[in-house]
Amino acid sequence: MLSSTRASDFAELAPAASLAPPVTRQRSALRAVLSLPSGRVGAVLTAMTLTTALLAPLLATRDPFALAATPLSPPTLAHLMGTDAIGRDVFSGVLHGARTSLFVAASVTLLAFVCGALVGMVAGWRGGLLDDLLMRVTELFQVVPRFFLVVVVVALLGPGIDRVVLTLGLTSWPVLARVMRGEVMAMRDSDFVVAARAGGATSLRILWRELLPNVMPSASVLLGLLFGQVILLEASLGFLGLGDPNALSWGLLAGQAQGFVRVAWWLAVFPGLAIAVAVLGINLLADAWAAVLGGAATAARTAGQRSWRPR
Amino acid sequence: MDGEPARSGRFVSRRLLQVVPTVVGILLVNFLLLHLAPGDPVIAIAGEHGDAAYYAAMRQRFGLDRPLPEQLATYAARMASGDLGFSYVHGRSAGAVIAERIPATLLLTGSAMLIAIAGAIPLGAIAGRRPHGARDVSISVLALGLYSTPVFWVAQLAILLFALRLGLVPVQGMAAAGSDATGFAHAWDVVRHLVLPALVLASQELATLIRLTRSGVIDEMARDHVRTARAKGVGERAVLVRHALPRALLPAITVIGARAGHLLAGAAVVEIVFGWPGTGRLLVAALQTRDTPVLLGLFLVISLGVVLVNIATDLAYAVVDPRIRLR
Repeated sequence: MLSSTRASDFAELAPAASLAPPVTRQRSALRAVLSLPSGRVGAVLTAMTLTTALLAPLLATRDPFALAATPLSPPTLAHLMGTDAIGRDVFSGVLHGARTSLFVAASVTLLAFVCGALVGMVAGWRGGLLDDLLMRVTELFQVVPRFFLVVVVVALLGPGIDRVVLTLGLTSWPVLARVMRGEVMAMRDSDFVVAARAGGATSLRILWRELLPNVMPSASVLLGLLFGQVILLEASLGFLGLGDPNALSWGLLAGQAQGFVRVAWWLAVFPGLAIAVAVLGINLLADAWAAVLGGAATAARTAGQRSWRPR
Repeated sequence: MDGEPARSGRFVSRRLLQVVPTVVGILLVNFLLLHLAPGDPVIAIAGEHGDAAYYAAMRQRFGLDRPLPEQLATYAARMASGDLGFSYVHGRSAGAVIAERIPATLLLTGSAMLIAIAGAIPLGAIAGRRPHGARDVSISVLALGLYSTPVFWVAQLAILLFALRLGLVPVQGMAAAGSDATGFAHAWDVVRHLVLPALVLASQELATLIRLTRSGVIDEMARDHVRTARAKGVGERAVLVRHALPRALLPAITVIGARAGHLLAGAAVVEIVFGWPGTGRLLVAALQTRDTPVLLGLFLVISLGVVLVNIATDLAYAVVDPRIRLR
């Protein structure tokens, strides 16, 4: 009665149709991704972002909160990205901002994955009335305007990373649930599931050991896209001044720049650039990964295999 | 053929029926948010600036001493009658404050959507015609780039370049300050102020629509009806424009609906950067002044708007694609 997936499921996260031609046979998933131009560029950008976040205290030239120099100084050798209105080093701020942005994105993605996997896999596995009910709930969550919900929650409870993560995580799972449900339904009566059941495996064990690994490839594409989306959402919240004022984030820096667009272009340019690099990197990786999976699915069909797992 | 109208009637009524639990859910979330606010819900409803007598009257009026389910029913009835509470910050009903901001937001989002559709169809069609060709790669990279860029950054860069550096368009607002122009002069003034924010907001929707059109065209070009058209001697351009493209665009209708919330979120940010006097700026103002009735009222109005657009696009999709009704 309910269609398992709609075009709009993916559109919310940009259709997974890929830039790259499908790859047919590759020895390892990582190598397959890196064989594509989009995968290589994505990997480099993502590696840069992760390194920045991990090594921020070592790479930063100043304390990001220290009132180090002349206010509103344009980029110089001493201050690679200039200084802000009260003389803080923007370069160090951008480096430290990576930590908050990536932490929020990773937590939200994890939370959304847990919720989406629970709802989607149980609905797809059990079917029937429970499936109908869970999908109704999913539809309800799908229309909640996430961004505005977080705005209201933060406005009522005050700023803080915990409530941003909880609100975004608990409202970002519907697409994952729908896709995972569809995959589980398609695999429910496959030979390997029947064999596991004949071997006496419980439902829980089949879901965990047999189905989850097979659902992961397509779920991981969505998780990658979600990660990028959350970076953008968190940045928009920070931009509106709803982030944690004590935790530097890219959005917070961009928001502070808003009052100085006329006099200090560097305040607006660099935090936004950092966001664009991080999000483009993860989107390119997800895109390349989708291309590899598409190619692998074709190869698996022609080879008569049931599914493909990344090694 | 007899069954056709009955079937579509059933589809429409089933789709409309699905709205009921959604609206109930939205009201429930709003109600919970009201009680989530620290402190007295009366203050949340009535604002922080009322006196004790007013609070007492409000408490009685909303039955805040009653059990929660009863309160929820009262709340729903109040919302259904269009009463969103009183905004002390504005000294008027929150509903009226919100209503007067809606046209500006509709103008901005509507123009952005039209620009995005007008841009995405040709770009997506060109890209999808020869997948992995040079044009496709450059268009697809552009789409992915726009998809990865925060909207406030595009907005700030656009102001820096087009408004401040080149001076082509005004930087802020919806009309020139102190202007009392009317008629055509006023409309032209608004258009000049609208161009940049609408383009920036459109760039965000453009990315998704390009990717969707592209993959739709790729799918359709491989289908039998396209092969038949080609076999009959229809030129490549006509095959693309008349045979593949119309069908490729059908799913875009539902996608536009599914992205309504995203569009409004983008509009809120764009309104802040450009000083556009719509609901997004009202939202941030309500945040800063702790104007809870306006805040929650906006959330309710936006949620219901998103649901409405979703239904409207689903129904429009069913009208143009009979296959949906027959499922």
